[in-house]
Amino acid sequence: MSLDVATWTRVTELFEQLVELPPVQREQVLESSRPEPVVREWLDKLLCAHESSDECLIDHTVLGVVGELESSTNAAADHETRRPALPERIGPWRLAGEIARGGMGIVVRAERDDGQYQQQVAIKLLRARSLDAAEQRMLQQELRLLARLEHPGIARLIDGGVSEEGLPYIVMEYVAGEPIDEWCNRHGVDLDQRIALVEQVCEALAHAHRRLVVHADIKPANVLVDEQGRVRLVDFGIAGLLAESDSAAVRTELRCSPAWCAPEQLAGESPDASQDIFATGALLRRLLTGRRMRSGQAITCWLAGQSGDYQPPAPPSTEALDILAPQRLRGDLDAICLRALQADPQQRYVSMNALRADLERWRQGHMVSARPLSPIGRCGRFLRRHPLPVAASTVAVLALVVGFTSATINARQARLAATQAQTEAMRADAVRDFVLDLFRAADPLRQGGAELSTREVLAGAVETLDANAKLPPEVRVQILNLLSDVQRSLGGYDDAEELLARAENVLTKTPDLPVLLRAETRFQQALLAEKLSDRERARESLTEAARLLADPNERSAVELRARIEIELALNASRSSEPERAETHFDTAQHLLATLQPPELDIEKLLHGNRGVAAYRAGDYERALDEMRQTLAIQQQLGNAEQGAIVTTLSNLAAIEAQLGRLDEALDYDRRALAIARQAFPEGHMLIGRRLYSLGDTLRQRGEFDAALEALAEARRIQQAADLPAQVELIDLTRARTLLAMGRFDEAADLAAETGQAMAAREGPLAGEVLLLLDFELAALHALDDPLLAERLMLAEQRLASAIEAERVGGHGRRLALTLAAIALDRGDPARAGRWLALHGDRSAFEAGDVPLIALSLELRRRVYINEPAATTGLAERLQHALNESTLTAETRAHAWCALAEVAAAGNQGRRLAVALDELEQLAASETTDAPSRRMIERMRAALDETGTS
Amino acid sequence: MSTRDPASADHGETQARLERVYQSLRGIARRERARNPSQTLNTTVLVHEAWLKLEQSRTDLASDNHLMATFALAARQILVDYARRRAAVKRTHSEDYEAFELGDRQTRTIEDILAMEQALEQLEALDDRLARLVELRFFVGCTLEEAADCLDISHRTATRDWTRARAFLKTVLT
Repeated sequence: MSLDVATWTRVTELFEQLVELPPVQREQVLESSRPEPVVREWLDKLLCAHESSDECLIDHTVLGVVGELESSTNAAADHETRRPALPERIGPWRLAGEIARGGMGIVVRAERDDGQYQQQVAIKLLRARSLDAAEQRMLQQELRLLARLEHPGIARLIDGGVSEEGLPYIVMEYVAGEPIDEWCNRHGVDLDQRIALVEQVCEALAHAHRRLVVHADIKPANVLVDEQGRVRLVDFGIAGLLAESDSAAVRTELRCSPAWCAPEQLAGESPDASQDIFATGALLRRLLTGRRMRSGQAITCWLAGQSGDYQPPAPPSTEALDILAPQRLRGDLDAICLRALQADPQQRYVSMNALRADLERWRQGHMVSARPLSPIGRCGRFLRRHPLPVAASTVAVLALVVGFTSATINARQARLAATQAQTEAMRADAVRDFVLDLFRAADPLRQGGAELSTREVLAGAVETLDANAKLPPEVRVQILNLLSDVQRSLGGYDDAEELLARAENVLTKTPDLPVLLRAETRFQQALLAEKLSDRERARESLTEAARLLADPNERSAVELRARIEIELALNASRSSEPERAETHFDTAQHLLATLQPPELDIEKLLHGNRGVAAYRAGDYERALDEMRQTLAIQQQLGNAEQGAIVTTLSNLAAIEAQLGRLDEALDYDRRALAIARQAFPEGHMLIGRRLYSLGDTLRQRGEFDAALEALAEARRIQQAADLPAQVELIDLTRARTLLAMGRFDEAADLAAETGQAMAAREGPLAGEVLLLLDFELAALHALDDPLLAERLMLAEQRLASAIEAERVGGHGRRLALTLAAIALDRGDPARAGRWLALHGDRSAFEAGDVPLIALSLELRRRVYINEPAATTGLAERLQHALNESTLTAETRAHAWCALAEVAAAGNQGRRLAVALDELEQLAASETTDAPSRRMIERMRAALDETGTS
Repeated sequence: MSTRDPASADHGETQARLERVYQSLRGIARRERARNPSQTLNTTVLVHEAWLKLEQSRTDLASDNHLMATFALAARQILVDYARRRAAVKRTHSEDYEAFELGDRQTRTIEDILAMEQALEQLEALDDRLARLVELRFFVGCTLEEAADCLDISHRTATRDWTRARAFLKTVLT
């Protein structure tokens, strides 16, 4: 039965001849041409098939076939392919004729039919699919919000609902107009007029954004110019409305116009104001160049998941329409257009008004604000991306309930997810920017042209909430939670509390609200309590929230529960209950492991916090591991994480330094600084922070000059940023560096000065204050300064008070060692013994720098009080411990000094020679700090004096 | 709501039909993708790309022959992929598609599509142009004239080709 090409060719030749002939003549032809049997066989078959009246698949087309398939699968999803029979009338409207038909539905012209007055409208029948009761309510709610748009540039929504046939419909003002691009071209509109038209688009959109409505599908076909030459936007919010009625899986599918929309919209993000800004940029570009935003090729790339590859288009001036003068586009208009078309929403104009203002400035010949990739923009982008813990889960539910109308809030919020070690100031910045961004389109008429403050914006949000009496309780609770979250992050704790109390009130009145909402409110209450240092209450609320979500099944519940567990772990870690923290971390990890696809933002949060907790508990290897995982996730998350990656790298540097791996630490510090310099504007406090850690690592490596240089730059930045705590921290490290360098005078002065400043802010017993005293004493001691006695007294008083107040931390213990060492040098072993007692029984051997220094001093004390017998065993252990490679030069110097003294006291010549040799090498080594050298010097002098050497 | 001067009737009709085909294919493609993200992405992309290109040349829709052919090919691939997977599921009684129970009609349709694909492959081996013609007519629903334009052949040739192709497919399909 198989056919080769030659046979087929022969068959078709004959078929061609025969098919037109009546059967009798066919036989004649076949007689004469005598085809081979196989050809003859096929010919018969083909002719037979041709004559047969049987229906065959080939007589159908794909539509019929697809129709068959669809009638069984997700019947609801694809009814757009059917042509719904148009009813004669819908409500009071008599349908007159079809205007257009597209993927989203049918547009019909209609007239009011109650004889009262004449009104022409356009009715959009949405994709035919019946809505359930909840969806109908939702539709009504959306329509109400759309109806609030009243602007000459927006075709009015007149009515809407569900027809008797069950078709959702929207009645809108009928606009007799032409798409803006076609209109411009047909009328040969000049450049200034084109820009003025785009300004009108911006005005209309700004009006909508202020009412938290985004258009989501701005393209020439939806931007009409009417007979009066005015811009009229149509199809407002329809894209969002439709998206709303789709299932979650479908929602990620394209619902915009790919040739015009923003890249993130293609990636399936919820509609948001910045996408309208992008699309307006695309519209502007269309009017300048005649080009669409992107080719089919580019779309393919995006759909294939290469969304990172979006590059803003060439400057419009390079491809200007023939009728426009390219030199007029060059520079400012290029910049305006490209700013709106930035890949990253945060780098676009912050609002429609900002874009409009720039266009207006351009028309009036003023300077425009568009500066692509300005440092401010870069910074703002990061800050705005900066995370808030609840946001993601809040948003998911919110999006479901109110859909696109709150999309402006949602999309922004959704990008916010928490990381650990960011400062409060930064978080506040992030939120403030987010809110400003959101509402910057503040009504200039209502506000008398003034910028709204964040507080006013928030108050406005609350006002809107109050005005919306019909808002369903679940939405109300969501919004209250959200606003409280924002208020808390801004430091408005009272307001946050009030908002939560209101949420609580709604929850109490409406007992059947979803448990997820309750849990979220509890979670917010906990975060607030934590802020107010009410750790106990925080824990109660968290426990309650966890109980509410004891068995989370939907994704958003699992996510929230995981966040709750992480917060519980932090709560435990802060209360120094590492085991309880572990349990909660484990629960969170277990929950997150069930999510498919994984929720990277929360996983990042988990690992980051686990790392910090491990660091706090002194488990540095574990901390390192967790922090590396955090970094890996952040790298996966891509560019948006840049700012947060800086923090993680810094944490890694700190951990490596703690583990004595200074090369690795330096590497992480340098990477962190490089990224920070890229991500933040010059002089940003976060660059200062990175310079500080770099300086500290350099100090630890003995690269003192480089360290001082980095610290000086860090200090300038933090001083300019007016961050005294940061400046003091830097000065502390500078003092420490100067001390290590042997610049004792400067070190003593700086330490004294900084110590005073810190004591004023942190109290006289703060760890850093004691540490600075330690430095000062070390410096004064090295100088044999007469001031030493006085400062010693102060130090001893402070340390004694700290002991009494049970506030002796690591720094206090270090200070005790310095006091002991000085006491020994000054011939006061009893005093040395008292301070050494703070370190416990020296015969219980411990590894590590501080215990070994304590042990060394204890040995020296025993030699001094002539207890050589009690030294032998300890000396052996000390000597053995010196094999440890990570010990600092300071520790070694202390140890060998002690061993030298033990050997001298015991007349062990060979051992003494070994110790002196080690000390000589240490004194010659560049990595040995000056105080240690000074100590070695003293030791050798003392040994010389007693003539034992 | 907008109104615009409708383009010429023919053009509008083609546009509307193409749009319906596109919407249907997209519907199938996205459902498939939701079930099995990696496998059907390419076809989804293909249909989008083809569609976008078509949409871009909207003033002269049927004139871009290559694009129309690409679209047809995309349509073919999507449907065939879809049918293959459904058929496979049916054979293996996979749990993945529990929510999806095929009625008799659908089963027949799926078998039809697979048979059509097989026949079309045979035809392709014999005469590529005929296969393209079938693709355009069956998978995009082009009229004979549109298909002729796409393939850059005369209407007469197209009619002749169609007669042959149809006879061949009827033979093979029954």
